[in-house]
Amino acid sequence: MTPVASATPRPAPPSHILVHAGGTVQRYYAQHFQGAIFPLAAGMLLYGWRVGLVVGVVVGTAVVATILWRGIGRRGRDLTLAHAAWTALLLALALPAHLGTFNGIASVHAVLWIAISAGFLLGIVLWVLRGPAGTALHPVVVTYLLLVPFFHDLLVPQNVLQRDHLFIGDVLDAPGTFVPLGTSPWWFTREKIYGHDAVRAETASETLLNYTLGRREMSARGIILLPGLLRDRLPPLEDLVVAGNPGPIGTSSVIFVIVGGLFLLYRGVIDYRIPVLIVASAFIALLILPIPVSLTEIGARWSWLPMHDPSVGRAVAVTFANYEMAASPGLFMALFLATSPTVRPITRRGRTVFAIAVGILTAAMQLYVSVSWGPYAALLLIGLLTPVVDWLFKPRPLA
Amino acid sequence: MPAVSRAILATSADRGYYARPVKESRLRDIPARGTLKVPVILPPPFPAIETKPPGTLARRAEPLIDVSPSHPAVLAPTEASIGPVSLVHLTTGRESPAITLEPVPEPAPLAETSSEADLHGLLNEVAPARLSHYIDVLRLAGVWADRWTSPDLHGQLQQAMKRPVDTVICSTLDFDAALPLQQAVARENAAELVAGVGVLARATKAKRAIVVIDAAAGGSFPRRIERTASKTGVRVVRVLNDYPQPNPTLLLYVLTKRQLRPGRLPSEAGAIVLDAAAAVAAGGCLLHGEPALATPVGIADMRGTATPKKRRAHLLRVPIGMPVIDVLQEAGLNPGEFELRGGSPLRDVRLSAEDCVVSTGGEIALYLVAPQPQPNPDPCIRCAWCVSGCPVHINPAGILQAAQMQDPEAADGYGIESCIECGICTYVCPSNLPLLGGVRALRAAH
Repeated sequence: MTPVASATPRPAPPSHILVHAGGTVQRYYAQHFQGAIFPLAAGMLLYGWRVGLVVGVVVGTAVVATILWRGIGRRGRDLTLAHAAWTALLLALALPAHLGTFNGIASVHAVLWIAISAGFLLGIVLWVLRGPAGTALHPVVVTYLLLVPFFHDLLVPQNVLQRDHLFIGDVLDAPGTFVPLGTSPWWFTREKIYGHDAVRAETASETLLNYTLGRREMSARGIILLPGLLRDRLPPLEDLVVAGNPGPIGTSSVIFVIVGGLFLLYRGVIDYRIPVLIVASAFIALLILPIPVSLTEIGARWSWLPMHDPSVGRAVAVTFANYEMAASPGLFMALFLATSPTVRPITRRGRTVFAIAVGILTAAMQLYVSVSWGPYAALLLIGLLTPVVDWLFKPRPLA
Repeated sequence: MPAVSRAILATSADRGYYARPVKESRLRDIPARGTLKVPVILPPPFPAIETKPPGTLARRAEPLIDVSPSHPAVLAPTEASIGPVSLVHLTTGRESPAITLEPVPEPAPLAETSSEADLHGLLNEVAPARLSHYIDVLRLAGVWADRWTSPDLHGQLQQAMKRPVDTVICSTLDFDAALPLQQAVARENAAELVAGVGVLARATKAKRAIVVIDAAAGGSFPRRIERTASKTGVRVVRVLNDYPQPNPTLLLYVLTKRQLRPGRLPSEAGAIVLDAAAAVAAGGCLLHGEPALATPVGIADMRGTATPKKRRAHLLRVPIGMPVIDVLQEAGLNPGEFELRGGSPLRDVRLSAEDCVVSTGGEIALYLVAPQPQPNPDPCIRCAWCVSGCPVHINPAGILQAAQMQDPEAADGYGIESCIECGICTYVCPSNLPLLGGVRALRAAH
């Protein structure tokens, strides 16, 4: 699509260039980088120094892979290190911190190899998708979804640091037992577990998915109602919104993700329509789409618009939707991935349609496929339609 | 301008396009010294031009050659001896034959302004059925305009004789506050401005005559125009002046909601559009019988590096045919290294200062910018800043792609017909893609 980019370094333009706004591709991605600092900081606080190891390995290997692949063919010349580093950081934020360990490194079964593989795989995906010049497919989403079938269980985080071991603690130093479900108060005010830096807890995403798929643990007796799920089998919502429930490095704290997104909005590098409409449409879809309102030994009772069910009510339905939004990487996807120029349409009308479609499909994927990677799959599928959306919603010339 | 462009420009305010507004607002007269090359405005291919024998003395305002009734007269701007015919470039980049003149040592002074009493009398005398008469008066006085902010005035008036025109719009908007040339011309010649607009409106039977001023214009300028225009039927309308608002397509849309394809004359949309300099030239001719022997020229020296204070704007009144290089010297500009750009620097109309001459109808806003390096473009990252920044809502990146594939149909689909070549797309592109160049290349090829 563009003139051939040179692989040789370009001299910095003189300071007195006037007839250009001064924006460069490097500066564009540097501004994105700045926005990702917030979820990265949250990850480092909640999961400690191993986050640095994971991020360093993923970004480093992705950059090395990009350098290698830049010399290969016409596609290689489209790759830029700034874009590669940015996408590698996003990929690292989507991974769990427990990959950052040298335990058993001599063996191919060491989990650190997943992080190393992820970085190299991202470099290859960037080459295939033509890096920043690509369209429709986000390289981070593609890479992550390629990892899921092979390493799904190893990508499920289970530990989070206790509040007095933030940042410096070892997230792998956790007891063997899980924190009981439905524990209250939330993580920050909970009693400490002595002798360990971290605690082990079941992720809210897995619990929610088990419920919405109508699965019942065989040991469970009686009816499981939706209000009971929220009260007894999920952590406090504060654990998901602020901190405390295990999750991927950059998506565990909704507040930090939102702050990072607001920063990107402030810098003007993302379009507000996309995250706002994705979240809004996903939320509304979560209130409408059918979910089990009760699980019994003989099966699940499903209901459209669950808030109208007598056993649910409006407050419970909204709370359920809040849990779904907070437990998934949906917000991270909406603010950092769906706003990427490679996947989002060019025009405002196109972006509106795109965002609503992503939101609705995100809700459906979270409820019926996976909470932890459903949003990524939704973005992948709707992103494939971006060229069609661009064609349907071309700008209307003034004259 | 769309918000994204403002945001981008705000972060690059120190880069100079939106330099500080200058306080100097009066035009300085430049005497006719040195060789002049008075352009003969003819369409190519240029016929052989027969002038008077070389060495013949021409008096001020004397016609130098006989021209057809469809072309403006070629007048001597000062008393001078006639020389050979040569080829020059106008400040629009267009090539033109020109008659060389060597001014005599003591040229005659330029004309002065008049009072408002004449204005009302003139307007009362205008007969609508005599548009052709006024066209001839302007033509024989050498009044013409054919630049980005003031499309072919003669062509518009000729078309107005065949199709109805209901609006006459005179724009005093400048490209940016760093070079307030149109505003200065309008302020100093308010009577002529209103006369030009009023006569053209009455002669074309237009129901509306509008003078557009910048909504952010301060000082005495707005009141002066309003006072002069009162009781003449000419309305003063304030418009927010975000580049490229002075373009006729955008101006016409903002004021009348009519769409005008770039390259077409506004008279096809039922309006006459001209800028302040053209209106003042027309008004000066109609009000005082003054031929167009000098033209206002603004030069913005944007080569200062760190501080906007080092940048200067020069507002001049220059004899027709004066080479731009001489104008720069007369203005006291240190030549140094520079690129000369005609009109808004974003439009990238590059001129040669030695080869270019000043004319009544060419671009009158000139910018000296530092020599621009040619950075290697990066791949398009689909940031869509070009789409968001485009004032006519086309897809410049798509047009560049179509240009690279030599596909004019695809370019049509992306809106190339509507491109006004303002240059905002190239200005904001982080990949340094030659978006404007792509549009021009495709238009030139097809």
